[in-house]
Amino acid sequence: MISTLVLLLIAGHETTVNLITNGWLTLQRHPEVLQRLRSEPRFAIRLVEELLRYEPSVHILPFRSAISDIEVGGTTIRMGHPIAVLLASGNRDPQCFPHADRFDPDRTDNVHLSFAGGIHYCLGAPLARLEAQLALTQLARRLRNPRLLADPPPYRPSPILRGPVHLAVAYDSVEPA
Amino acid sequence: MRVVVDLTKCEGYAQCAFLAPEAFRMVGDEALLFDPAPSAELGEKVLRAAAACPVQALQVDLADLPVPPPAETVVAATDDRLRREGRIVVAGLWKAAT
Ligand code: SF4
Repeated sequence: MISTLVLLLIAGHETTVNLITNGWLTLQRHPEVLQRLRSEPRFAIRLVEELLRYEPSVHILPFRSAISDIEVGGTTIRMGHPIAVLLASGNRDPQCFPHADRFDPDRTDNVHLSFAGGIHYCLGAPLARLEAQLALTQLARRLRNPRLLADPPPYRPSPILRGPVHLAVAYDSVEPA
Repeated sequence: MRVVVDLTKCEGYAQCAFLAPEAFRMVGDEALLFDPAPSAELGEKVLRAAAACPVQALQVDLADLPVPPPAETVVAATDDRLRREGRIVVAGLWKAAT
């Protein structure tokens, strides 16, 4: 019970914090996209999918193992062998995503892997999506003249969870809600 | 607004049912019941559902076009509104190996 709660706290908190922080960093680096978020209704919906693909909170799913022999690209992974799933790398697969290294919120058919897949698809995905859509839209609409104070920001040294330790942003004022 | 689900793609992830429960509902573990012509006020929720589908099985047309008759009518003696009006049931498959 306690370990499940600890898991939910980490899974539900740090990943969403990273999604919003990585998202804001990406928006500051693409001012034309930030401007669209201010003015286009519903733009946040597709935008968050592209942020999930381009800057996922979880880069690697370690500690998996094959439950049967699996053929991948001419190699057989034997049952029971350990697997680390490189979600972020799959998200940049040029065979799935044209110009995969480009941040493109107008991308269609965005079948990214950021919430994993199959029966263990992230339980918190609907909540994480809503949180990021709402938070980024509010930040974009309400912060006047936001700008990064450090680019790149300092990152946590984790290969698994990707996100800045903090993201310092200066702004002139905050518009009322 | 019109909604189409690509039956060859849908795998029953139920993300649509979490984000727009008025238009999508899981029946049992794997069958998806959906409204092919949700009302316009649901536009934002349905777009969220379409964006969230892990296999991108949902197509949404926001224009108000006439809706063709349902391909399959579900007859069930319940007071479930979606069922009484005859919507479409899609059987999805879990992708994960057992
Ligand atoms: S349409 Fe997509 S989100 Fe909805 S049940 Fe099917 S696979 Fe899941």
